[in-house]
Amino acid sequence: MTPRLRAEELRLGYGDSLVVDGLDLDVVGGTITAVIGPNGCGKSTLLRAMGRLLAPRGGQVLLDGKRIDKMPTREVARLLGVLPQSPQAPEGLTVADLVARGRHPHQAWYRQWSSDDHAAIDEALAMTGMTDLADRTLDELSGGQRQRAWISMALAQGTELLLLDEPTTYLDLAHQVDVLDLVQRLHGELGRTVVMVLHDLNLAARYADRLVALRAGKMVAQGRPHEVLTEDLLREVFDLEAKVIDDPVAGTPLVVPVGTRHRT
Amino acid sequence: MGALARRRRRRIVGLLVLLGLAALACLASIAIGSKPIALDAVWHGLTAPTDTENDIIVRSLRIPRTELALLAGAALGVAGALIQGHTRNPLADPGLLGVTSGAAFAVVVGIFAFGLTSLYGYVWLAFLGAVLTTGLVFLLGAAGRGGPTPLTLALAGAAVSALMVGLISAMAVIDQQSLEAFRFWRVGAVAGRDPVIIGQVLPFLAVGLVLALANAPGLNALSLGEDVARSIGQHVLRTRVLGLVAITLLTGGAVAACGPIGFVGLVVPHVARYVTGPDHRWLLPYAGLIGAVLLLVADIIGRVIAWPGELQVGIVLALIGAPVFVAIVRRKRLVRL
Amino acid sequence: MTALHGVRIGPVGLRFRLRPLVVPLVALALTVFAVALSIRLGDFPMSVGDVLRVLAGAGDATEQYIVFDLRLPRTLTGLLIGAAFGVAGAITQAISRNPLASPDILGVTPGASAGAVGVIVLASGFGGVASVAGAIGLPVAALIGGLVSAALVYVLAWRRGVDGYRLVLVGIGVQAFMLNLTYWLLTIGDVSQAGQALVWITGSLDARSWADLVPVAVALAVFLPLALVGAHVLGALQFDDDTVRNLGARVELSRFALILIAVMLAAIATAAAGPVFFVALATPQIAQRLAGTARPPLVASAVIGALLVSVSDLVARTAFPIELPVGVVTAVLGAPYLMFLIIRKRREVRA
Repeated sequence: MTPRLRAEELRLGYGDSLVVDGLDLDVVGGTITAVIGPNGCGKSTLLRAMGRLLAPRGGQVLLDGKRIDKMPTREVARLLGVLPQSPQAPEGLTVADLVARGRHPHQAWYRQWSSDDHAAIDEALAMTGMTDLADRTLDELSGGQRQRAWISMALAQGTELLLLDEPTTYLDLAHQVDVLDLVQRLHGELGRTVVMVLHDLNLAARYADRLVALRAGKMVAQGRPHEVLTEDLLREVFDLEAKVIDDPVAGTPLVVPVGTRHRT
Repeated sequence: MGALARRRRRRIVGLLVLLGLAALACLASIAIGSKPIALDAVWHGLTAPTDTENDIIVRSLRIPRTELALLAGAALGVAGALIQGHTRNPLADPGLLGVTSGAAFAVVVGIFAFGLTSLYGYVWLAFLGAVLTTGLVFLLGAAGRGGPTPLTLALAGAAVSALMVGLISAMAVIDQQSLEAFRFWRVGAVAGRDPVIIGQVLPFLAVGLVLALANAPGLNALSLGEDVARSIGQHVLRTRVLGLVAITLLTGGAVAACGPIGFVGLVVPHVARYVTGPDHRWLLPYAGLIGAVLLLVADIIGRVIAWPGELQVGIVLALIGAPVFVAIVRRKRLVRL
Repeated sequence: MTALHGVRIGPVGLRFRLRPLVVPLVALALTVFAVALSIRLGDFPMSVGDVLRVLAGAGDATEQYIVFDLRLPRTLTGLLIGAAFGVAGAITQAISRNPLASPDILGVTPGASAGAVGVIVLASGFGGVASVAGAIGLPVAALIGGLVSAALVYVLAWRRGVDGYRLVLVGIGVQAFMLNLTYWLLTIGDVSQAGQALVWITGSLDARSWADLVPVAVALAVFLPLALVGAHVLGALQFDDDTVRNLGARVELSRFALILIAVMLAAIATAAAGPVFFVALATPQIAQRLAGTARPPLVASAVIGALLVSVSDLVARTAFPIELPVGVVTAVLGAPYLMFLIIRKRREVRA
């Protein structure tokens, strides 16, 4: 299958430091890919570059075979949505306002509003279960609700590709599962292609079709969860001693860290 | 989405109310002054002027002055909302990017070095100074990796403004004539301006207003942060440049015509934001109308409290407007940027 | 990103950041140099030996007069008000979390300006007002104006506690009021009074004596240590109020104490030399960029403030045929330097 989104020989950095050095990655349409790795390994940087929020130092990102940095911003925004980690909204913005702003790439100065916009917003709100909260302002919401509102905005954007940077940050376990179930439904019911950065390895294994493991800006492994999440790899990527067993619920790999207390 | 439709209707009604207030203020502004003019005489002067004394006052003094107050108030209100939106800083005023100090600097150089004395000459010089200075601020703020960010623009603006003010002070300290002209120009007024001036700045203000309104959707996108803005298809640099050009034209035009009237651009956006929330497509028209009404009312008050003399509008605005603003800040919880 | 430097002496490992320590030390050395130059130079230049001789108590009456009554108090006043403005600015910017904030926003400097310009303009003419205004004197009028205006900001911003954002907004209002009052006062006096007033509101060290110096010295001696003690609280205050409460800092009290320190330092410094333009705004930003810290560093701000004012006064006094107010030079020197730092040090904040 040809990849929807592809990174070739990608070199990324901020200021004088190089964060990602020579990375290749293919994202096949209709899959959920989770990027994992220790703090500071370049996960978010990679995601930002794939979503053309960061210009590469070297290499290129291709969207449907075209160089993403050569495409008009608006055209990219109709194909690919990015949700940064903990985004900020101005005070007093309602959920409906926020979701409506997802329609931005479909609007022009002469056409500010259409029935398509209305339908897309209603659908996005319904999908995320935010319809009843549409008139609330974002500052009134709980962390989990706020995250769903932002995902709702990305959904209203109507892109086939979604890049999510740690969509579960600051959420408790129940709400993490809640958000990831939502991602699963976007994939299952709407056929969206999702790339997300996740911290929790067990949730990543359970929800993603493919895992990509990074360490120090290099790809260490990629493939199906069973192929990637091995005890050797955890040692190599995270310096973590752990047992990997089968998840009793989903059958996906389950990482059980050893820790010093139980080291034998 | 009943609530959305209701809110939309409320906002439209609000705009109409403001328009009505502006019309009333215009009438009052034409009627009130050192020589009060009865309303029927105002009407006569407006519709069928026959060179009576009242008609001449109405047409050659009061109307230009009213037009100028409306234009400058609207321009400064809109420019203030733009600059606060772009910098996301409640302390930002339209002069932040050096427009006001650049205009003042150019005027003082004109007086100091070339012995310029006419207000007519001030207009072009002030406008030129405003444009050049903002250009300099933008170049400085955009220099280096990453392009212009609100923080670097604001700091570059503050630094350049400080430099200009320093140089102005130096010239004013050295040369009494510069000080004498500058201290009166500095307070800001709409009275005694040649009607020609309005025609000169009007094109800039009109273009500025159109660009500002065109900037509103982009500014909405930017208020979600640069990453989200780009993600939903907004070209960040283009949006910033467009906003900056609009701010420069609006503020430069207003300052060139009236002198630096500081209070409107700083305070009006806060009041407007309280009414409209963070949607710039509503915020900008509200800020413009509130600014226009405020400046006009302040100008009328200035004619009344020192009657038969006058107090300059810039001073009235701050001395009466500031306490009112503080009262609003205390009573209501203003929307944060 | 500031590099971490490691020092290892036997088993003791020490990691510290070098730049935040080096920057104030270098600035201090430069300040001492500027002060030394400032005492030597002027219409009556003296050699280092001369100055040392006079400081030791020798020298003739003229030399004694020049060093002890003219140059020393003036130079030291500049040094100390620079430090005071630097610290006041650093505190204000940290508390309001806003790099554009300065003691202006606390009402201090605009209030002081209105007070001082009022005295200058009203002291001649205006009958009964004149005698009162004349009797008060400039520094006292400025001090009263500054403190009243600052109290006004704090009281008006108080509603079951002071919220940082409301403080800034109220500050905007009070500042606009005081500034325009000042501009108006400038238009009602005659032009020579306006000139005198302009010099004052630009900030000037002309003819400052020991009497001007002592209050600033006392204020710094009292408040600088207090500010340093509060520095770690200041770190906590950078978070939003909820976080601060969780961290257990007694929000209201700490913030009030720090604002009070900033107000007192700025008010007393303003009373001595006028609101020397740009120092309180720029110094913390310069210090923060040089030291590579996340928020304005207090000690570095104090030293760099002192350096900026000392060098500026030296330039203002000796570089031109006529003497300029120091506030003109602080802006002309400080602004380009800050711009240079902004351009050079475009550090990516995200990581």
